[in-house]
Amino acid sequence: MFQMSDEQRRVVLFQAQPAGQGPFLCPSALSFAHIAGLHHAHSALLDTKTVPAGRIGFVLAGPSQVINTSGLSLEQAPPLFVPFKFFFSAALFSVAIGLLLIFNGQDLYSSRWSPLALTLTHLVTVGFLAQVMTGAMFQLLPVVVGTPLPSVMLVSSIVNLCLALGAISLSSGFLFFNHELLMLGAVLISVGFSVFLVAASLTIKGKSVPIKITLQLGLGWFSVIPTALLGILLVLALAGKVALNDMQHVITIHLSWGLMGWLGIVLFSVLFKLVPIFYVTREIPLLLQQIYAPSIVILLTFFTLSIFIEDSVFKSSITAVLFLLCLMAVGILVIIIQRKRPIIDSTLLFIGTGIGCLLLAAAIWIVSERDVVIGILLLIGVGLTIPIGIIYRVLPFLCWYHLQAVVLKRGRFNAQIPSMKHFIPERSARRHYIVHTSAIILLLAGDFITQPFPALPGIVFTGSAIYLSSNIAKAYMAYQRAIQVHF
Amino acid sequence: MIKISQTMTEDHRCIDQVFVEIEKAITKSEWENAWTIADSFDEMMERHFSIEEDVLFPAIEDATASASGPVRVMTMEHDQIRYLVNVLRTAITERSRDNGLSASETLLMMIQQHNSKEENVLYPMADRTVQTLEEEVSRRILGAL
Repeated sequence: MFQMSDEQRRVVLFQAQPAGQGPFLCPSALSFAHIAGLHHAHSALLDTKTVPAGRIGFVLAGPSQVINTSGLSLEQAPPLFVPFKFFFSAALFSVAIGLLLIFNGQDLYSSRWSPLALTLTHLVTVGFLAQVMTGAMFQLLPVVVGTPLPSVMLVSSIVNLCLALGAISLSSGFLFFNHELLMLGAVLISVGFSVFLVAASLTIKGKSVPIKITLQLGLGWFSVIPTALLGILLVLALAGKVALNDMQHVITIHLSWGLMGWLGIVLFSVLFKLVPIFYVTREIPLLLQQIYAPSIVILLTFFTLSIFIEDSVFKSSITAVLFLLCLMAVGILVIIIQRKRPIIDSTLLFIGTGIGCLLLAAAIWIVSERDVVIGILLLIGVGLTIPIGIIYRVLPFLCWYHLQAVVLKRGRFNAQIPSMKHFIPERSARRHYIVHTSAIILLLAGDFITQPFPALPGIVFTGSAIYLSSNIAKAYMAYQRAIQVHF
Repeated sequence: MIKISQTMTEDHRCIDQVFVEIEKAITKSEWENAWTIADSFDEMMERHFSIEEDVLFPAIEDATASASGPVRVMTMEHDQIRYLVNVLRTAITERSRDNGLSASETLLMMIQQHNSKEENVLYPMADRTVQTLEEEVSRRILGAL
């Protein structure tokens, strides 16, 4: 008869421990003894003593339960050039926005429907945001799901090119009233998004994925579909091929899916993931994390139905979406204020400013009808500012990570490589922050006062955009130089 | 029953807290304090790594009938983290605030992306394999009593 030792008895009778007293007394430290103990206990039961784990998993799970890990390697971070080309393309589009503002800046304030306003809106959303967000997904998905996107270089090039050409074509179509260019742009953008969505779906298909983040990102990217479909419908209507009764309402639904669905959900999903790990904060309450994405999609669906059903409840569902977005913005601000890491870096400044712009836009939306101000706050204040902050943290790290991986692969274990701050110096990022926020303030001021120098906001914005492009390019060049220096 | 993923994720958070204390000490140029906390950090980190490398990873490799893939990459990243801790310790020895904060920034990012991969992919995998193990062990031990 087998007799248990005291150690084995403790293992069998192990119960969950109460919460620890702080960082130096963690309940997990006790739990580890539990895990290791189980292996030792099992080892004691085997005829041949395999310590500690031996072939336990295989023996007990049996061949029928062997888990398939084909395609799962965790080292499948795409080459650095993949995120770089998306980020740099986005930065170049922000330069184009600045140049348009220099030469036509005053037209911006005439109406939200002016050709310039429509051109700028799509340069920001498709030119800048679509590039940054798809580029970030190529990087983020392998970390979340554990597998890379298929044929990552080819797929990323197709997506990058389709979105870039689509943004140029669509924006030119708005600027020059050209229906063919509008249609070409809509088709190219739809192809770019479709290729990305199919590739991302294939990546997660059949995999065991973390539900929370996958659902959030999935619903965010799902929102691109109604945005694009409504966009195509609107382009057809502008070309006179489809008759729309209430075009203005359809436009509002199109931009709601784009700004609140796609941008809102994806941006907050990424912030919910990144802010706690960048600044060692507590998590956003689980309930809010679980409900916000499905709630926004359901509410936007109600809002869309208001095209067909005259119902004030459906129409007012957009207010509820705005409330949810503000709730999440406040949530992010609260965890930032309560963060454990007291450091204030450029990324935090950009993110904080972006969140502030969102709350300000919501407040103005409630009390007045300054559409252009709300547009500037949402598109430039939120849509450009927060992604720039994230790029300034993620890109230098990726440069360092890839450089380190090359060092290890080539066996240069003693090679000294620069830290991530070498790739985008904090001083440079902070200077850019000052120029960027100045541009936002000058753009906003234009709606309240007559500018003595109408080109000034555009000049400052272009300066900010060139700063961004140069910081991104310099980081990549510093990486290339480091590779050459070491090898 | 406590899941492996829960236990190990909790330990990641504990180590994060100690990291914050090192960074605070470097920010205030409290070098002796930073060194002492770095010792505690090292100890906790090595204990965490040893549980993964000696217990969890072999079990996962057995259950997945694979000696490469995720486990190999995670082990390689442990070495990258160890390298960065050394860089951080060098900065503390040299009493260089700039180098210290620069190293701590890189270390934090490295740790966090590594943790994300483990928490999203590897620990759930461990939950599936080691859970079978736990049930089987408990059943056999209780049956032998």
